[in-house]
Amino acid sequence: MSGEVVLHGGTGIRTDPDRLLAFARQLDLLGRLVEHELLGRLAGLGVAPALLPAAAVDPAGAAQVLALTAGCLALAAGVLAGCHALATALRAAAAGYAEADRLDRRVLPVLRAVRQVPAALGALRHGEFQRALTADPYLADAGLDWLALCGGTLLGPRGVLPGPTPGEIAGRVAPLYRDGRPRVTSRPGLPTLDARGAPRSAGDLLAGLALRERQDAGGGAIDVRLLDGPGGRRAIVDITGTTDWNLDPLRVGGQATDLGTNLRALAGHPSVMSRGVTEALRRAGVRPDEPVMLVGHSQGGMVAAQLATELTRTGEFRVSQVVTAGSPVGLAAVPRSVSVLSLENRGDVVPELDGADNPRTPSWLTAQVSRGGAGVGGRHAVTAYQAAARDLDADRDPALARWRAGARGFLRARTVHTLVFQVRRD
Amino acid sequence: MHVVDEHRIRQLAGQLAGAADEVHATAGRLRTAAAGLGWHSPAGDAFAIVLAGLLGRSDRLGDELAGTAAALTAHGNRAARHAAELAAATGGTVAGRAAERAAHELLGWG
Repeated sequence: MSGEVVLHGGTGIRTDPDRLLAFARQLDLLGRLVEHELLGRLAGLGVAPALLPAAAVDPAGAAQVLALTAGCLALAAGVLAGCHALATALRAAAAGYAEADRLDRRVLPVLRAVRQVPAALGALRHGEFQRALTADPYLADAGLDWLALCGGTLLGPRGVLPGPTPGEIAGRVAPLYRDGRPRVTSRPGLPTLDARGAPRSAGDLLAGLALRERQDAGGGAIDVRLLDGPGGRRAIVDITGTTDWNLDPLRVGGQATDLGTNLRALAGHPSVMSRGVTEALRRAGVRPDEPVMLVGHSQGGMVAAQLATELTRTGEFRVSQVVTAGSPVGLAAVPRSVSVLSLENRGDVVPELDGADNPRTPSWLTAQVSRGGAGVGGRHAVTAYQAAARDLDADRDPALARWRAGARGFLRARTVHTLVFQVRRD
Repeated sequence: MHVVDEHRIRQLAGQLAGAADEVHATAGRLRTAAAGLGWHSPAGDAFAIVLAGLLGRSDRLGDELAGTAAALTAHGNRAARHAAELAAATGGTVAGRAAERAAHELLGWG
């Protein structure tokens, strides 16, 4: 473990992972005291042989002792649970900070060489990387968690350094975050782009997604755009990105688009958000034989890729197209029956977080684009991807032409009617 | 035979009082260590709030344990006194036998 980690920037994040770990061990001591010394002793008090004869001659006193003992037991159980939870959170944070420090000092230069995309990552100079991490307090801390996932593993899959894959690590960390059940509600009041007509291009697809992300009713909003055209009825689903970067597993709330969903999607597991999207498709009346296109930004793209895999397996809905924007989806095992278009903006570090290249198959097209303002945040914004998709619309590249041909059923509809839903965690 | 084992009850109360002291001391050590943790970030601030809650509950647990120990001691003293008074009033037989019978039935002895 390193010494003090100092992440300069607006929030001045500073800590020492060793101290966090030492404190976690002290919390363990309190937990062990309560678990091994107290709980058994308190539970045994009610049936202690010495107390029964005393109870026979002083029943009121015995009742008082038992009531007090029950109160102590309840308090002790709460303290024990708190110790475990806080120690776990501390260890996760310590690992995150250490990995962030390591990533900052060691991994990025190597990553540049290995990835051979200096133009894309050239923006991630030492200081700029730190400024990006600390530009948003929540992103800063959550970013550390992300980096913990990829920091030790970006190089692992390529054999440079041994280590578990990011998906495996995400699978281990994800259970710390409660997943819960989706509560899907209709949000008819939110604006849509229906007045502009059915989408005609990648730019139109991203415009709808960007609108939903800008007006997401507090998080977890999704569109089901029902299209009618020459090829019959189809559906496009817009899935928005992360709204709650809750590093602390104790802070899992109603937001379905949170860090827990990120971890589950990265591990290739279903999540409250993927189940919510499925429920929204049911509510919208989409039939199993009607083609579906899933469009997602950041976390939304990860959920889309995971859901395409799952729905193809179950056969409940027919996902034929996936469009991701700024999403780390290289580890997703999307079947080849599904056409994938992945937009990755130069300078956006988020698509790199899985440490894996997107599959290079005839059904998966990764478009490197260059749009948006300076810094990681600007490059990851959905608006940057919206502009980049407009660029692609004007691009005559044969691979893009093939993608357009495959997606033409979704881009030639006569009518569109959008149903807006919101997915929350119960 | 004096059926109320006052000595054993005091021993149990002493164990609870010792545990109360240990909980207070451990919470105090955590409080001191937390002051020197040096975790300056939004997550660190959130952690400090949650930790303060946990240490507050720990202190309360220590207080409740101490209170239970005191109540147990008082109960033992009172029971011993009542048993002695009953023994004196009945010639040392009725109360003793009644208490012994109650204990045996409750514990399934004999």
